[in-house]
Amino acid sequence: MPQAPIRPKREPLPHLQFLIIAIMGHRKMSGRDIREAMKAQGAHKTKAAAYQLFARMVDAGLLEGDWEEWLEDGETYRRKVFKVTGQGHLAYDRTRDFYEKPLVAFARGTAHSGLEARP
Amino acid sequence: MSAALHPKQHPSPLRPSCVSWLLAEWADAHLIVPFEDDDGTNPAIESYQAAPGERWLVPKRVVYALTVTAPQVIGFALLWLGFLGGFGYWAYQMVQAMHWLIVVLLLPVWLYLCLLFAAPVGFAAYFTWRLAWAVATLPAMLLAAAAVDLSVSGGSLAARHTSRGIDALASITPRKVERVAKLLAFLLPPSIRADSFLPIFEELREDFAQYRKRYMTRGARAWLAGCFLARVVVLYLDCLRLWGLEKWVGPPTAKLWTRLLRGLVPLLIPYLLAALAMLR
Repeated sequence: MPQAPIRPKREPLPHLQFLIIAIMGHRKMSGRDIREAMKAQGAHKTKAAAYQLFARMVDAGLLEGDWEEWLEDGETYRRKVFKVTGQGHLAYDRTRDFYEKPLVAFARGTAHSGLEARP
Repeated sequence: MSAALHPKQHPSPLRPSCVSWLLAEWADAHLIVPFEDDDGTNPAIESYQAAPGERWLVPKRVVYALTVTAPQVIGFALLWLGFLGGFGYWAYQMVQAMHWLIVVLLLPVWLYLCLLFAAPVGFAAYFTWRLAWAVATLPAMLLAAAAVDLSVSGGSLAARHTSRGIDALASITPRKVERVAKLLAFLLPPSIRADSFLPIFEELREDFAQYRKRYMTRGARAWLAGCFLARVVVLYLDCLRLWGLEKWVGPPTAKLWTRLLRGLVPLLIPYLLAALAMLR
């Protein structure tokens, strides 16, 4: 029986999950390509650890994983490809807003700590 | 149906190659475990004959002397040096400690003490040397044997006699490894196997197949197969590491560790108080 996808939490995504969704956007990418892009961004993980991370994101409903098969010289080869789901994009937007709003406020000089007296 | 033949009786395909000969000589010289048949003979050594056209990059006598004879000779020299050094040391200590007459009277005790203390020194020196040399010379020996294979022209009868190791490695195909690796992966828990092991294994397999197309020579294919196998083993170990992390350190057991620590704190308090009282 397939497991029901876990509903993503309301809190922001961890940095690596955020990076993965940012890398993938609306594209379908293989695990190897994602890993290489992550490495280029300075987020290096071992192969097994990276795929475990992808599997966790699939379990959380942020990614969709699928096998892509092709035949070459009588041999069947397979490749795992991933795609960001709608929930993944929502979680990405939410995380971006979470960090962006205080950053914009800080840049404009309107940021407050919440401790000063309110008018 | 033909009966199975003993390697000694078998025609050429099972004739020991120079690789198996050198390996058998090395094992015979360095390892305590005997690699012999019931009749006390080692077919890998005794049925070896140099194939016609077999050329060694380093002369065979030099390889043999460096890997088998020299360590034996130097090892025995060290053994005796250890013995004599130990005897001399203890003799000096005794003469320094007491009158020479007492030394003569206590000669049996002195001999016993010398044996007791000198023998371990000698044996320790001997076995350390042998082990170190054996470990150090194994890769060199295999390289020397591989150089023999590569120096023989491919396709000839002589090459077939001397290159079984490389041929066997070069004939490894992705399909053959897949079966073994997937059986090996069966030991991993299903989640790790499906999520981590299989996708990466497929990547490695794809790489291996692509490179196999590009490089056709026997040596290159053997090297590729060796690298592929090594990468599969590393992947397998990495998956085991992840499994261990997930099982013992990861979120599912974090609560367990916390509870254990919380449970231990009340037990530790009396000991801490007792320690403080003692310090006062």
